[in-house]
Amino acid sequence: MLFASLREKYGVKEVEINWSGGGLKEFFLEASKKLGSEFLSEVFEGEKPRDDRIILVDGRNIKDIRGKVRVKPESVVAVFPPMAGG
Amino acid sequence: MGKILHVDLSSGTITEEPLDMEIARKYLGGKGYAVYLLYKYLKEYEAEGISPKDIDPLGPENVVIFATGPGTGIPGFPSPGRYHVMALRSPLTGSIGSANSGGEFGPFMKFAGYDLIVIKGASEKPVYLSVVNGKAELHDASDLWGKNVFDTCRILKERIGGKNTSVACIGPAGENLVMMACIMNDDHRAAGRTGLGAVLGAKKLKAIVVSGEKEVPIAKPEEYKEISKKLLDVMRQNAVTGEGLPKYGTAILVNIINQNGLLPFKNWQTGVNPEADKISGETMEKEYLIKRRPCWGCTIACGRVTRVESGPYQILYSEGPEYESVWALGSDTGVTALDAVIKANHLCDELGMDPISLGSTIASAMELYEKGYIPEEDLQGLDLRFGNPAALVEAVWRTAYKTGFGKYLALGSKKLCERYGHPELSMSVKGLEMPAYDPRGAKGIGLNYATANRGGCHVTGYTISPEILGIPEKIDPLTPEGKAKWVKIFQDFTCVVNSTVNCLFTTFALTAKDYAEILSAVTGWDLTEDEIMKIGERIYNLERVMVNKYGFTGKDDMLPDRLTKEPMPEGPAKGQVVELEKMKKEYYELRGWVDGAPTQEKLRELEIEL
Repeated sequence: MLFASLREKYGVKEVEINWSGGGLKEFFLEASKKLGSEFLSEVFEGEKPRDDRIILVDGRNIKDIRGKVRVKPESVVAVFPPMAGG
Repeated sequence: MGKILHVDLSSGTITEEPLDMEIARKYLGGKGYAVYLLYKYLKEYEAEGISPKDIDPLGPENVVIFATGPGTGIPGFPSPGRYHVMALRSPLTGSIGSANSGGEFGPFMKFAGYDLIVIKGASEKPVYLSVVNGKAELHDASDLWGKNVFDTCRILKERIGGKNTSVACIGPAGENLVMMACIMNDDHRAAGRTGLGAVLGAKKLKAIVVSGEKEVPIAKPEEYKEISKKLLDVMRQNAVTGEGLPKYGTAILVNIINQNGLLPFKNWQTGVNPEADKISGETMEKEYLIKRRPCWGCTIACGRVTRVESGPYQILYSEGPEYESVWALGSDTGVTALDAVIKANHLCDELGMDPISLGSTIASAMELYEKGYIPEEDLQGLDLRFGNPAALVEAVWRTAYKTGFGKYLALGSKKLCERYGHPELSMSVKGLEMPAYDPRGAKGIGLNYATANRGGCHVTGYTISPEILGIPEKIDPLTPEGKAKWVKIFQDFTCVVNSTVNCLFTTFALTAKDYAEILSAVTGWDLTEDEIMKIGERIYNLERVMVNKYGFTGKDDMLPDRLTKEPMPEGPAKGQVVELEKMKKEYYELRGWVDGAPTQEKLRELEIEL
């Protein structure tokens, strides 16, 4: 699921990925096949997720998940650019 | 040298005094200086034999202070277009009254010649106050009484004319003493919370109009110029203050808060709204947004101008709604029609009411009704079910005019739910309805809601910033561990911002060190980061002393049972409750409080003389 400026840039609210489970980078690589090859650099910088992206896996921020982040076949992954309000 | 205007509405006398710079050094200005003055009034009343608990929030003895600070109205100061309003007591809560607003009124009040305007007493007939280039007068307002906010602002701006003219006023809701009535300015800006519109209504003060061209002095202009440029560059390059907020406004939070599982839905029965996207910032930007509108001097420009082209909720020009309004009038009531939410918010502006308290009160009424606790005859045909947009819009104006069921909505959710025998359905703290974050999904904001001096308030200590948004760093929202420290820091720093009186949103990009630097240049004082944080802590504690005097103790630093005893039923926070007592214990230790009250030792440390 994409939000804010990312939704605008890629022209979609959400895409369904054919996915049997695995790591986060692999998941985004798969997503890039639908969203375009540059999507991976939208969320990853080298081997690490970009610090200026808010990435949730099933509603949990990946920065709060201990250990390696696993994306299940039925998981919902949400990506946000930096945002705030009140 | 700054000045304070004193207006006694009972006698009609107007006097002034200079700002005491020793006090300003200890309390900065804005909220801080106002808290200091209010405490002085409390001591005077006690010396006269009047107990603070007996001060009637709607009586002439209540005191209201409109306050600007050292940063307000200075070109190049980060987001300098705000003012703060304090009152001895709020009619909604019985605790301290406190609200903050943007637009132009704050800077123009300074240009009119005064840093603070203190209002006491009550007029027998409706009046308005004009402050024009240092000259203050009271005028008959009988032709304005009954008029809505937009007409009042327009008429007074035309009548006074001049440059830099702004109006702060109440609408019909304030005149009718609705408990969540607010003070509006510049048509669509609101000093929203704690019912201060009703306080002015009881005083029969319809409006304050300010106008002037007085310059605001800067102690070290060359140094200021350099620091201002540096900080404005930081804000422009920051992804939030330079891009996210300007483009999408605050309603961009709807989806991220919902995806994290803490967007209160249908009176906080859950934190997941399956149709949140329909009322999101993205949808607003696509379907209703015309343009941005900044407060005076602000580079963030997060204000929205919106338009609903056609249909039953048509509005050809409106401003907002903000995230909180969208949540309260939308998600909390279950309404998914964004056009109806925009219309309801517009009516709140027109009639002068706080959409957070009103939306939450309507939502509590919806739950009461759906559970069969409100007899049909009380509703007088108002079909107050969750998700009913027509009932939402109708409930807004009925509340402002206290007509039909509106007279019960006008009480606020605490008294409304008590009336129907279910106080537990009021989602409020100290009588103030909580804003748009379910703390079962972010424990720190729960501790902040419980301990905020003015009641259920998010901006007092906005720990959503680290817990959900990752600013300045990411902390786990679902643990209660370590939250007390964050809540205290945010509460103290917010006091600094509200005493500088500029916008809290600057803190997404700027630090306490930045504030110390730029305030030093403006004031000529040699302020350090530690000193301004101590100033913030001092203000928070003196305010708490007053709250204690009104009878509030540690037991009132609470949360509704729904949040501490009913596990979140679904979503990423499923199964969670707020471990409030554990966090409170740690918080009181850090604060140096016992049973919700500062110790004498803490007050001495902060150089607070009682």
